Amino acid sequence: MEKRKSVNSFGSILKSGVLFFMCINFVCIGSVNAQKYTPVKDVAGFKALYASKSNAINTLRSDFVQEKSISMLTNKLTSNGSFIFKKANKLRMEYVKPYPYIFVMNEDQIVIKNDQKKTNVSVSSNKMFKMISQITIDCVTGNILNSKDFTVKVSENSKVYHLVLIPKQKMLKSLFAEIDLLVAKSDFTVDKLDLKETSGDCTTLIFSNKIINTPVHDEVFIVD
Amino acid sequence: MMRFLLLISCIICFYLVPGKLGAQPAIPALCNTNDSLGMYSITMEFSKNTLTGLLILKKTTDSTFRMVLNAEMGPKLLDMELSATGYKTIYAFKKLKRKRILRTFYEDFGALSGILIRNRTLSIASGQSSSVYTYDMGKKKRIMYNSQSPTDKITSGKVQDGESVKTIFHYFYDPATSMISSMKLEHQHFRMVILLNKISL
Repeated sequence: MEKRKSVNSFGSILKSGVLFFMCINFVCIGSVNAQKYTPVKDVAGFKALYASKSNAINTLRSDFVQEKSISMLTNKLTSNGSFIFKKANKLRMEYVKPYPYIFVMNEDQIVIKNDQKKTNVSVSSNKMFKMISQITIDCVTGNILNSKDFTVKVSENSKVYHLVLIPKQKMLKSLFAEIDLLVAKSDFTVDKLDLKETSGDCTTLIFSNKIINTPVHDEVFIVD
Repeated sequence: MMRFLLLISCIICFYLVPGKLGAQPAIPALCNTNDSLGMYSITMEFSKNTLTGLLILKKTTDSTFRMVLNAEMGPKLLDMELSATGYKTIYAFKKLKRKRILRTFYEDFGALSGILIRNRTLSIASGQSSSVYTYDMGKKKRIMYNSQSPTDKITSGKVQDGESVKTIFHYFYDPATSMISSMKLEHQHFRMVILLNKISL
C-alpha cells in the first residue's frame, strides 16, 4: 500500500513538472534580445498594461525551439515544434523533432500523446493540477505578475520586458530556482522563456513566427 | 616445474569461475557504442496514472551508468548513478527521495541494462530453440535472460524471488540495424509498466 502511495505521488510530480512548464507559456514569440536591462520604475503601471494587452490575445500560433541543458551532457538537446493557444484555457504544443510528442490542454482535460500512446489526465482530480491551472489562468490574464506563488522583478530595454519569477510556493520552489521571461514590447507576447532548475539544469524556449488572433478551431485541441 | 604448476593452477581457476566469458549472454546495450549515450522516450503506467518523459542513460565507466529522467518539456526529476553494488542519487526532486521509488528504479534499470549481474554466478539451460541464462543474486533472488535461436539475442528476461516472478521485461530490436529499439518492463505484484523507445537525435 505504501509502495503504491509512493508511486502515485511520483506520478503527480512528473505530471506537474510537464504541466507547469506548459502552463507558463501561453503568450509567446519574437526575437531574442540580449541587451542590458534597467529596472522598470512603474511596476504597477506595467502590470496593468501587461494584463490589458494579454487580455486582448484571444488566439496565438507560433513555432518554438526548445533547448535543454543537462549537466551530464556536453551538448544541448534541441527540439522544435508548434504552439497554439486559444482563450480561455486551450493549449496545444506539438513537438516535431527529434520525435513526435503532443501536449494538449483543453479546459480541465489534458491529453499527452507520444510515439507509444495517448494519455488523458484530468486537471481537477489533482490538487497540484488545480494550482497549475491557476497559474495558467494567471498567465492568460496577465495576473501572473500578481501571483502569490512568485516574487516578480521587472526590468526592460528598448525592445523587451525582462521578468524574473522567483518561486515562493513550496513545490515550485523545489523544482525551479528561477523562471525568466522576455516579453516583447511590441505585442506583449513572450519571446523567450528560461526555466532554471534547482538542479542547475535549464530549459529554454524561443518562440518565433507568431500570429495573433487568427481563427483557431476547437478541433485543434482534440487529439485522435 | 614452476611453469607447469602455474599452468595447472590457471586451468583449474578457469574452470572454477562460474559463467566464464565465452558463456556470458550478450545483454542488449542500452547506450550507443560511439558516445556511450542512450536516449529513450519513456512511458510509465502505474496505478491509474500514465506518465511520459525523456530518459537519458550514459555509460560513465565499464561498471557504472548514469540515468537522468526529465519531463519532456520541463525539469529534471531524477539523476542517479547505477552500479552492480548499488546506486547513488545525484539529484532527486524532493518527493522522489523515497527509498522505495529509488530502489525500484535501480532494480528495474539494473536488470534491463544487465549491470546487476556482474560477478554473479551464472547457470545456463539450453534447448533447441532457446537458452535461459540464470544469475543467482542471493537470498533466493534470480535474474533470468532468455535468448532465441538462431540469433541468440536476448529477447526477454525476468526477476524472480523464490518462485514468485517480480518483473518481466522484453527487448525489441530494429531489424535494419539489429540494435535495440524499444523495451518493455512489467511488474507483476503491482501495476507498473515501463515502455522505452529509443530516440535518435
